[in-house]
Amino acid sequence: MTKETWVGLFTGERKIPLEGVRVDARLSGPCVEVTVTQRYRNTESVPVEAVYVFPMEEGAAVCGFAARIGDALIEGRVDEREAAFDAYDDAMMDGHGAFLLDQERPDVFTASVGNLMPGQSVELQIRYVALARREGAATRLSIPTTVSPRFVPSGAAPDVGQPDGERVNPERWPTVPYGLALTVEVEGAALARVESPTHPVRTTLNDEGATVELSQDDVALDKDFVLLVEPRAPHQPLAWVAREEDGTRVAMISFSPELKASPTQGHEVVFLLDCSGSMGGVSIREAKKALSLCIRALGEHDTFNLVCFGSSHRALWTEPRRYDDTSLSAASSWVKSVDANLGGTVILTPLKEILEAPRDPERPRRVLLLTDGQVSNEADVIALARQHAEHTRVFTFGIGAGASEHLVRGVARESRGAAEMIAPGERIEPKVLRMFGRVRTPALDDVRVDYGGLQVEQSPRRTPPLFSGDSLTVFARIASGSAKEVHLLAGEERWTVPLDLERASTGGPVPTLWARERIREIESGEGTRGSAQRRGGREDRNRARLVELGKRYGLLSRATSFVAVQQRTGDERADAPAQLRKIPVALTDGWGGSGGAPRGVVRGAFTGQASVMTKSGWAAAPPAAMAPPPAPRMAAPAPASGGRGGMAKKSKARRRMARAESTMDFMEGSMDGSGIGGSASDRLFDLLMTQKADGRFETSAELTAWLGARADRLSDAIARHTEPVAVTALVLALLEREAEDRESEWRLAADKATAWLGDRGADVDVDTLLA
Amino acid sequence: MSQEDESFGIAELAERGGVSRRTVRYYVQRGLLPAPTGVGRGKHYTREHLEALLRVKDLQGSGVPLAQVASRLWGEAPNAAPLPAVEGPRQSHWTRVALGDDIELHVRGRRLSEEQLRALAAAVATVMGESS
Repeated sequence: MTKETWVGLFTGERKIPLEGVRVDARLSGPCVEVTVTQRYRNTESVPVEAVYVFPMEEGAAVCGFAARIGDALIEGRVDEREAAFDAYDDAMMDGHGAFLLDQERPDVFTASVGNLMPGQSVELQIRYVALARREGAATRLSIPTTVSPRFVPSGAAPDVGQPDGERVNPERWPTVPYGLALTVEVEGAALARVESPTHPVRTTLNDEGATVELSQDDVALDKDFVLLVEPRAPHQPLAWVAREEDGTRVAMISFSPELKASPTQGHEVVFLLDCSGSMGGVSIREAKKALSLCIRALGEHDTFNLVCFGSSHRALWTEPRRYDDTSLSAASSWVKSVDANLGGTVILTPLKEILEAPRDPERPRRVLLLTDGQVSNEADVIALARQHAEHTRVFTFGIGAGASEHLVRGVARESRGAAEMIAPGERIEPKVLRMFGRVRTPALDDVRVDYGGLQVEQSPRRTPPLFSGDSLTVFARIASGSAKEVHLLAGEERWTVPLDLERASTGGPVPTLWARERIREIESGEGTRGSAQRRGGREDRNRARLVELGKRYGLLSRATSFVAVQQRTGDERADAPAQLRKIPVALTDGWGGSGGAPRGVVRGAFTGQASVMTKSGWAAAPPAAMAPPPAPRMAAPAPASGGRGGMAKKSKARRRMARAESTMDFMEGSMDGSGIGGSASDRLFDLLMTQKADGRFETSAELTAWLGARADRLSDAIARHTEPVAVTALVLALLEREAEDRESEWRLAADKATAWLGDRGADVDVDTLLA
Repeated sequence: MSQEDESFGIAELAERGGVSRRTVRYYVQRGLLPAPTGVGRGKHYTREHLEALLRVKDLQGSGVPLAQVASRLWGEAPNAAPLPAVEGPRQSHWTRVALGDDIELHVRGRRLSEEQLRALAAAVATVMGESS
């Protein structure tokens, strides 16, 4: 079956008034400024109301909304959410052009274009600023493109009006007829690296920095765009001061603290792996790889356990076990055996069980959560993590092409842990390494900023946790006083950043980011469980504060929306009711194992096959409401290292789909040979996986394969030094000499091996062995 | 003005119903409330609308899924027409349609069109959440 014939079956069924999305981003220092432009056009003969649910970055401070119609630019204003809707609805009823932007989640938004007249075009412009995230030496810019299907758990409090889960679950199509164009301007002349692990890009260097564009003009909006920018000079602590319009100064202060990890402090580490259907395919394989690496990062002082969850959950052991060869071997087998076949994403129950289990008095508890976060009850999960923050930090890996950053970062932030996002195609090892650096960082709970003689309103109010190698940023709105420097205090440690209050320009992103941080704190305080009355009172107070902040700073929040109205006169007004057109969104690439060829799965389901269901669970079930696309569109080719198959692979997958029950077969087939960040077989990864709990290595097929003919020489050395000593020394030398360029990936394993070896292996003649 | 011809705009309907205008619009879109009477600026809602609104709100607020609210609202029990009691063995043909994980629809005696299947999948998504 070819793509053309398949698509042809459905062409022209439904008109979609969204023509395309364009993102213009500017990365300057630690700040990102982004304009998202959505181009709507009504090709029908009646007025329509277009409603589009789309994602933006979790930390985005949405500070601008405008509609461009021809030459006219109509700026939106911020109002209380329902008041904004009323203004929108009034304008709709009067036949005017009406435009509305609502926040459904901190990372999910709804744009409504009312009374779009036949033949009319409108561009919505949405502006936001965000703090770029630091990732090792690089700055990470993330542009989400689609809202992944979210699991709606049962038992939530009944809604009135549109059910909450529905608000973040727009209709998904395998592909949609509108695409993405994207340009990022990177400021900074000295750049060591600019690359996108997710999309092919064209980078042009110039005097001021670099311009990055997608290699293709019209790319599928089905996976997050990630850009990594590494400046030549290392990150520096800094303090930026800006003035609000009334002259009030606001400072953004960023520290780069270094802290020694303590290798002898043991931890109780519980790994919580999302095995829900949405993780199928590439995501679960990435998660399992990350998990395997994480387990091997444990040390002999640690205890650990593994739990996987979906609709139900199960633990490897009833309680955590000491890290030794037996437990390591059992855990490795367990990781190999699990799959994304546990149905829905009920994350609350297992997390609660873990957090409420009796604590080990000698070992602080750490939870490592690996998930795509695709649930609709983020607020409850985040609130649970916050309740237990005093005793348990949760470190999260957000996995997949469209993971929910709000859940992944929210849980980590509120439990004073940390988060790493792993997009398909990104190298996992450095992230695991960084994460374990943080897990091992002593938990200093008395972290605070000393502002000297300044009276400030700090945002976030509580200073975030401190991790070695990460920067720590706070915003301070200065009420009065003066100071020349500020200090970050943690335990006995102290870091200082100079502050120049006189050099303050007016406006800019800093005051906006201060307000956004406040809004986030208030928002994350909502959604907690409790009696409706208690919740009601708190909710009212929080809403009032959100509205006040939102209006003052012109910011979107869950309590404030943007509205814009184009006044029309006479015949320009819509005289017929606008027909509602909900814009379908592209299903996330690789979602639930769909791996770039979900069309076959969908078609199988919709042709009424009696037995589309297989044991693979969700993978076989189409994300509901997934209708076929009206027109073919070009998907972005995957980067060389990506996990997405080309056309040849897709047709192969479809051929397999011709057999009704072959979905599982097709899933496995589509995954063949698309190893994460490299070839299917990665000899370094394979070798590292043979390391024993105490750090030693023994002979293995993986080692023999790497050594090739040289493996024959090993027996002499083993006879002289015993097997583990000879092999461990050899592996250390092998890593240093033949995997030098990937040191970041094996450093942790090598440190453990070196510690085990001590001076035992000093006289192993590795030169002869490796010659 | 007698109670029968009492009429109000959307803002007043929403206020009397104790919901937001957004909710009124949503219920109308979902077909849970009849569209307003009249055309253009003359559109208005009546006491019947208000009563329907209050019932929908109560039902939804007590946890009834929206897909069932309509049938309750119009006075039908979900299983208004029970199958006749079975007297002795009988044969019939059923089509089994898998609509999602753990969700099957059994239809007696006929196959569904692709259009119908798609509409069903959409309805399942709405009721169960995208991922059930």
